[in-house]
Amino acid sequence: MHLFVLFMSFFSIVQSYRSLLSPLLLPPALIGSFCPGARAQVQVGTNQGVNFGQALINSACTVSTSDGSIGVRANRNLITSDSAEGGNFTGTLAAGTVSAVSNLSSTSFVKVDNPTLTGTTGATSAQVKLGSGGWGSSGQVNLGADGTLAATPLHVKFSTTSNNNRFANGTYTASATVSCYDGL
Amino acid sequence: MPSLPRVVAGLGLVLLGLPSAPALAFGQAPLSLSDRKGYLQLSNPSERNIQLNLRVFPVVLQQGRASADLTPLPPEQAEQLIRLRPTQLRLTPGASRTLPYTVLDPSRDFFLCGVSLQGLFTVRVCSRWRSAASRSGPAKAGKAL
Repeated sequence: MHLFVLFMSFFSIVQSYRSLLSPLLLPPALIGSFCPGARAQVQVGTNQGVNFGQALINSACTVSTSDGSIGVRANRNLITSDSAEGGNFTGTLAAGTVSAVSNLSSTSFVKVDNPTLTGTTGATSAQVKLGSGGWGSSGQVNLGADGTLAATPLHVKFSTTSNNNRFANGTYTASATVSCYDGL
Repeated sequence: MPSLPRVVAGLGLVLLGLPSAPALAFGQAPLSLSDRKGYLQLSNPSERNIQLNLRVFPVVLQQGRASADLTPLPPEQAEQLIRLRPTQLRLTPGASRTLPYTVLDPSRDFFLCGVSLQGLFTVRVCSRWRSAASRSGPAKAGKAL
């Protein structure tokens, strides 16, 4: 009982001194300025937010091409842009090129198809070759992980079984369709 | 057209290969039409004017990969699938153009391709509209439209 009375007296004294000393207690900010090691925050003025404009992200692909040129084999049975095909050719043989820039992933691809020859004698076989791929009715190559395709050679070749397997005199023009897809 | 590579096989088999034209380029975004209403952006980063045609193509699936058929849908069929104006435009060097579109029949898969004749090549950049069934179901071989 005596101990309880003694404890309560001590508690009331502490409370009294605390109320008297409270105006003298230093605010945390001042404590921070006196004691660099202490954790404190100082705020001057109001918060200022910084906003950024919206960004619209869309999948996109830009395809660039440059023309090649074709020539005809001396026996007239082949028109091509690829000088690696055997035989003597007349004309300047040069690959076209295809390149692409995109923000796509490596699932995206560029496809070349529909090799077409217009001229006096129709082609009975039409093929394309894109990059290191083989000859075929179409060719495709994936874009790199960075979404780009460096300038890649594109060749065409045409043969005929018409007119005794010979392309007749006239003007011949080659074309193909190049398409970019996101592959999804 | 001097930029086209051509072979002139005249008397005595005289052939002429014309020099290559400078690179042409054409860009399009987005490549996936995710909303029934949206905008298509077309750009010409090259140094020459380009003529663009916007055409709707059926989807062809080959070896699990979707691409556009070679032949576009007739205009009357295309207009039932998507509203887009204009469908022919000319872009000057460095120019871009934004066109609003509205998918009219969301139940059909198709490609909306910008088509540009660039010398030897017909260049297409294609944006795909996928129906709800196509988005959820596995790809099937053959034509989807």
